[in-house]
Parts: sequence; C-alpha cells; structure tokens
Amino acid sequence: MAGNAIGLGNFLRFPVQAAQNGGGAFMLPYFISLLILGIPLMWVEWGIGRYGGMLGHGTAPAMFDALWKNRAAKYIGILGVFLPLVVTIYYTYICSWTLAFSVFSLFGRYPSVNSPAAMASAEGYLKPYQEYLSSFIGASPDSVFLSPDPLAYLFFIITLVLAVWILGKGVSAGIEALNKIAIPALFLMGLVLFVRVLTIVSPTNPDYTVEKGLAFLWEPDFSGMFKSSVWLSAAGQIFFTLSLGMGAIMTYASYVKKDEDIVLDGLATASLNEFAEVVFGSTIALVSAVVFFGPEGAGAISKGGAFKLGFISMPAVFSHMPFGQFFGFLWFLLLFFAGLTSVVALAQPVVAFIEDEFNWTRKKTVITIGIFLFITAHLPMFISGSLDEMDFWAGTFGLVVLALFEIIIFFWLFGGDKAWEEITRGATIRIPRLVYYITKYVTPAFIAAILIAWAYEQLPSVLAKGGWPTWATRAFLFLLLAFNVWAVRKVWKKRREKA
Amino acid sequence: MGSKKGLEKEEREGVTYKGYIFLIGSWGLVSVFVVYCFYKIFKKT
Repeated sequence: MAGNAIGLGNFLRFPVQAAQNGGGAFMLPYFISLLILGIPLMWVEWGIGRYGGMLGHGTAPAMFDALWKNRAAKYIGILGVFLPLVVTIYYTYICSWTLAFSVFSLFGRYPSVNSPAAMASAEGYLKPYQEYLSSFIGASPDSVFLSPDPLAYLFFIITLVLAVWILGKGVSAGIEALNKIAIPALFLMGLVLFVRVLTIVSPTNPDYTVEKGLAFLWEPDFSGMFKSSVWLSAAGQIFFTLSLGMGAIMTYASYVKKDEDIVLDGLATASLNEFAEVVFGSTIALVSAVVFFGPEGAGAISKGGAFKLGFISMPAVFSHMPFGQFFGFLWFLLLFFAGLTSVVALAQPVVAFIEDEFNWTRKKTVITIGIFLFITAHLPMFISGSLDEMDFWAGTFGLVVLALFEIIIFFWLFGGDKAWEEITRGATIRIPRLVYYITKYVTPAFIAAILIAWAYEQLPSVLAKGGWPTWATRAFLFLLLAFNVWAVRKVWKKRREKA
Repeated sequence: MGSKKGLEKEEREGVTYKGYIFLIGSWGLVSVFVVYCFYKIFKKT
C-alpha cells in the first residue's frame, strides 16, 4: 500500500507547498491535518475495503451499495472507479517524463550552461532547461496544441506497456512484486540523494549554503498560521500524499483477511509515506535549488510549481555537480518508481470493477484498459490545459467529494459503532475512543470545510476558463462519467434479473 | 519560506533555533512514527 501512497507529490508537490505556506510553520497545520483527516480517513477506507472484500466486492459501487441500502449508493460509488481512472490517464504520461529524464541524465543529454554571465542569475541559468522541457513536451505559447518530441511519445508507450504488463501479472505477482523491489529501492535512492544534497557546495555563490537551503524551507513564518489558504494547502497535501478519496485503498483493502490488523497496516503506510515526504521530499529538490540559485531564485522556482522544481531546476543542478549524470539518473529513477507504483495502484480499481462486475478475464481487462489509456492520454499529451483540467476535477475536487461520501456512508449511514468495530477488529494497537468521535464528527466537518473553501476560492476561476480545449476536456470527463453510470446501471439490472 | 522579512533574515543568518526546532521536530516525529509502526509489525510476527 505504501507504493500507492508514495508518489511524485512526496518529492515535488510537498516542498513547493511547504515553501509557499510558511516553511516550518506549515508543518503545524500539516501534522494536525494528518491526525484529524489523514489517518482517520485512511482507516475509514481500509475498513470499507475490508468489509466489501468479505462480501466479495472489490470496488466502491458495490461496497457503498452493501453499506447503504439506497439506490443512490452505487452511483456515488462510481467516483471510486472514475476518479482513479482519470488520474491514471495523465499520471501515466507524467510518469513517463521521469523515465525519459532518467535516461537523458544517464547519457548526458541535458543542455549545458557554462558562461559566467548566464550562471549569474537563476533566470539565465534555468532558461536552457526550461526550453529543454518545453521542447520535450512540445509546449508553445502561441498554440493550444502541444507537439511532443517523438521521444516523449516513445517513453509514454514504454511506461504504459510496463504498467499494463505489471497489472496483467495480477495483484500478488505484479503489483506487490513491483512494490517489494521499488519501495526499498526508492528509499535507498532517496537516502543517497539526501546525503549528497546535504554535502553539496554551491558552484555559483559560496554564500548559498546547505544551511541556507534548510532555512529556506524550515524557518517558520507564523503569519500564515491564521490564513485559511495555508490550512487548505496543508489539508490538500495530506489528501494527495496519502492517495485518499481515490478508491484505490478500498480496492486493495478488499484483498486483506477478515482479522487483518488494518489499523497497523494503515499507520505503517502513512508512516513510510510521511518519512519519504518530510525527510527526503523536503530536502532533495528545494535545498539543492537554494544552493545553486540562492533563496530568491529558489523562491521563484517554487512559485513556478512542482514541474519547474523537478524537471527544470533539478537537471540544471545535476549538470553542474560531480557525477551529476549518475545522481540525475538516480533522482528521476526515484521519481519513476514513485510514479509507476502509483500508476498501477490507481489503475487497479477499474481493473477490479470490470473483472468483478463483467466477469472478464484479467488479460482481456488489462489489455482493454491499456488501449483506453493509450487513446485518452492523447488529450493531455496534445491539448494544452487538458492535464490541468483533469487534475482539478479528478485529482483535486473529486477526491475530496468522494472522501466526504465515504465517511458519511460508513460512519453515519452504515453506523458509527459498526464502522468502528470493522476498523478495530484484529487491531493490536488500542485506539482511544476519542479517535472515534474525531472520525465521526471532526473529520467530515473538516472535509466539508475544505470543499466549501475550495468551491468558493477556486471554482469561480476554474469555471471562468473558456476556450475549446477546456470544454473538450470537460465533455470527455462528462462522457466518461456517463459511461460509468451506464455500466453500473447495466450490472445492477443484470443482478436484479438473476435474483 | 514565503515572507519577504523571512527571506531577508535567511540571507543573513541561515537556520535560526526556531527553524531547527521545526526541522528536528518534524524529522524526529516521522522517524519515530516509522520505527513505532515497524516495531509493532515485527513484534506481532
């Protein structure tokens, strides 16, 4: 399950969020969100999944239907298949960039900046690397169409084929086997890079030290503590980093035994994810950016977002570091392992849905999904803004909606006491009763507050976006959702006829 | 770190004791979290 949780967000999104929202002070709302939102919600998803699994259900539509005897339940559960499927479409493409950049690093294909004039400013230093990424993904400010480099297309196909092959092997021989190799390898690579970054010396300015890099991220700015945006960012980061509200945890939990200690399993998953994020994720990319570009340069990079930090700043750092080719290869391979484990985990709910509800063989299911992902990934690959649109509706807004439904259905409609019994059965750790009340009252109130705040702050600007690429993406998402509704309707009709 | 005031301070001093409290506190907390979980898992098995 750690493979599902540890993803690109741990190494790219977290340092950007922390740096932009008060540095060390961000960790207070972050850890509070982990305690009252992340861990309770993780246990809720494990509990729903194990309960569904005991009844022979592997995905959210059937699980919700079993928990809440209402016609609407199965339709709400569609989100647990639809959301991870949409995220898989664009996440596979982003994951393929990391594979491509690891190979580029190994063979030294990066541009090189050596003139003192260009190295004097972060902007000048980063320009060739910015152009390199733009050329790779085919971005142009003058066109709504992207024209990716043939290598970008090739690496996407390699990544997709690899993911489909792993999925085809099954949960135990494919996904679990991948995680057994990828997660220890990821931690080992993270440790090597962590040590390397902490011993780095600036080639641009001797005043840009590792200590300044650590100060950049950890020096607390308490002025943000009372801003709702900081709390929203912290809560949002907890959602993304633990892969909550995606449906994947429920699907995996459906495979565990009746008396499995899901309390400890959930905590162990969260602990590994937090270690990767707070120790490695906070240090590797951002500290090296400060050492190379100074606090102001790193500030501009973090404002440019996670992609700028990971795919522009880091190649620039590695190209001026002894054995930079090797360390660059390691960095992008680490991201690739983090991304690939998440891709296969996110694809599993739809695989399980088709296998369970339509009785398709795994081979037929996985090949069909592979073809679907190949076709649909052309949207984010070739249409500018499509990736952001998908990420907002499925990867941001949708997962908070699903999480709220999960907790209402499990703790309020199925019953709080039954839900608590389901979660704590087989647990070796005694959870204080206070956690029950937090999960039942505080967590859903917190999620509802996030949803309302996001709807108030972000929805108007998202909805105001015009242009045909935006609407084409929305139309695609609507059609895909409608298809999911049709599929669920058909399955339940067949069930009724059988009964 | 977001604020201009903080940025100016970093330029001068590097990490202050408050920064170290948050750094060591956060790294320590997640490390203890991992050790606790895996201690429980190994104890169980």
